[in-house]
Amino acid sequence: MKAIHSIYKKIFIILLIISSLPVFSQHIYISKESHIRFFSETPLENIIAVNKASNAVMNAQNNEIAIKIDIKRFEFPNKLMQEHFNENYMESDKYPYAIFKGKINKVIDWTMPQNTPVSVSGQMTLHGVQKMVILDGRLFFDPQSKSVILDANFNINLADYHINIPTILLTKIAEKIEVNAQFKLSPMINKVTEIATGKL
Amino acid sequence: MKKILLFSILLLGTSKLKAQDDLLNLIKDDKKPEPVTATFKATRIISGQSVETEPAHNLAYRVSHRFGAINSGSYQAFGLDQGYIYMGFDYGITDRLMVGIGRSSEQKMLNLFTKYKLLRQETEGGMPVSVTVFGGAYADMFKYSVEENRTSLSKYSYATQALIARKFSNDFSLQLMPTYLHRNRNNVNGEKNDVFAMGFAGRYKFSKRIALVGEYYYVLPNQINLKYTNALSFGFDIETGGHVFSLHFTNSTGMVEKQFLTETIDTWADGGIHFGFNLGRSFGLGKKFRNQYKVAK
Repeated sequence: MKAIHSIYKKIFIILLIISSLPVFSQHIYISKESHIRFFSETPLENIIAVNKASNAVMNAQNNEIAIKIDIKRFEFPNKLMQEHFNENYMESDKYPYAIFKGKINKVIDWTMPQNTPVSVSGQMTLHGVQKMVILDGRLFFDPQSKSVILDANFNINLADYHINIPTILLTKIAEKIEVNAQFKLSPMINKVTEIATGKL
Repeated sequence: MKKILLFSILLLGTSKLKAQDDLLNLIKDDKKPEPVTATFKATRIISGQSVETEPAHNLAYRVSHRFGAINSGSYQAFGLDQGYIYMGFDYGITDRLMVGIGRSSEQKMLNLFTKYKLLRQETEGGMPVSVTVFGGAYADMFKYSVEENRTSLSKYSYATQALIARKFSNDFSLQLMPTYLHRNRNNVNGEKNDVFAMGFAGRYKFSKRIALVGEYYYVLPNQINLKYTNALSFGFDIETGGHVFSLHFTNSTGMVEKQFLTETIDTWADGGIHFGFNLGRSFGLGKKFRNQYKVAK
């Protein structure tokens, strides 16, 4: 009797440990491709930079989204501008990432194909400054291939994030930067085994 | 059984905590060593070269100026009445290779040079230093009197340097410059044609756009006449967009290796200090810059 009791005890403990592991199934989507572009336009100069090395994760159960952007991976056609962007404006040694954590403000039926305008409200951390923002964009979903595309267009007001432009450069750098962000996400199934074995 | 219950409550508690932040944690950090940028603000430290090169397809126009010595007195407006000028163009062929051409008013010297970034310092786990190699040629275009008996070959000099630098922090960089200079003709008898020197340079950035820079070249003994001194310079780099202004004090009027290494006469000790500045303006040339500049129509 005592032996059986201890076996049950063991099974119970094992089940407990398994249940406490963060188990992710098909409702977690992670980005495979990303494309973030910003655009500064003034009468004198246009500045465009592209980042293809950022990451997004989405939880389709509670519609939460998290985005992490490596500031140093913004590529400029002009390397000198890239250097100034990192050194003088974004201070990317001090603030290497821009982070967004938010939630889609809409109930989405993940069994149906979607092509719908959405807004995402959440917290943006940029240049060490946190701000509540609402981003407007579009969500595409294909239930067959299980792929999600997020596409957002929004403006960043540099002063909001304490990014200062010297007065003499205001003719060259816009105070409001247009940003376009696109992410293609797919389910994170293959990661589940890695999580279970503790590799992640 | 009580213990198990307590344990299970604890476990459930931790999994709850995890859930709040887990989306961000799912993003893997693939932090690879990346090249370190902006070890120095400009391709020159003061008179000599820095490890930096002009980026690909960037053309920089440079003007450098050294006024007369401060100890020349009020009659000479403490040096401001006199001036030595260097004008030149630098061009980046690739992000690692640049070429330059320049003209100095002193000795009417024409110089050509090239610099190549051999190694680039990387963030943690990567290359610890940046190494750039430099090669320069100098042609003295001055019309000497017939008595001086100068052959045209005697007017050429050549220099090569290894520039080794490390950016220790965002603000602080150091550079070493072992240098070899060959002059086809030296200035006085008893001087060597081959001159070896060691340069030291540093930068400390005390604001986002302003840095204190220093540069010193030590010429190894018994190579040049004792009347010549080692070049020592201090200055400020002020950066605004595509421009770098460099304001400094130096005991040398030469702005190319051949001149500041072996022909510096003034010394800091007796006030033979020259105020000077370097200006650089960089332009992007080529297709990829076409959308950047707007020309009024």
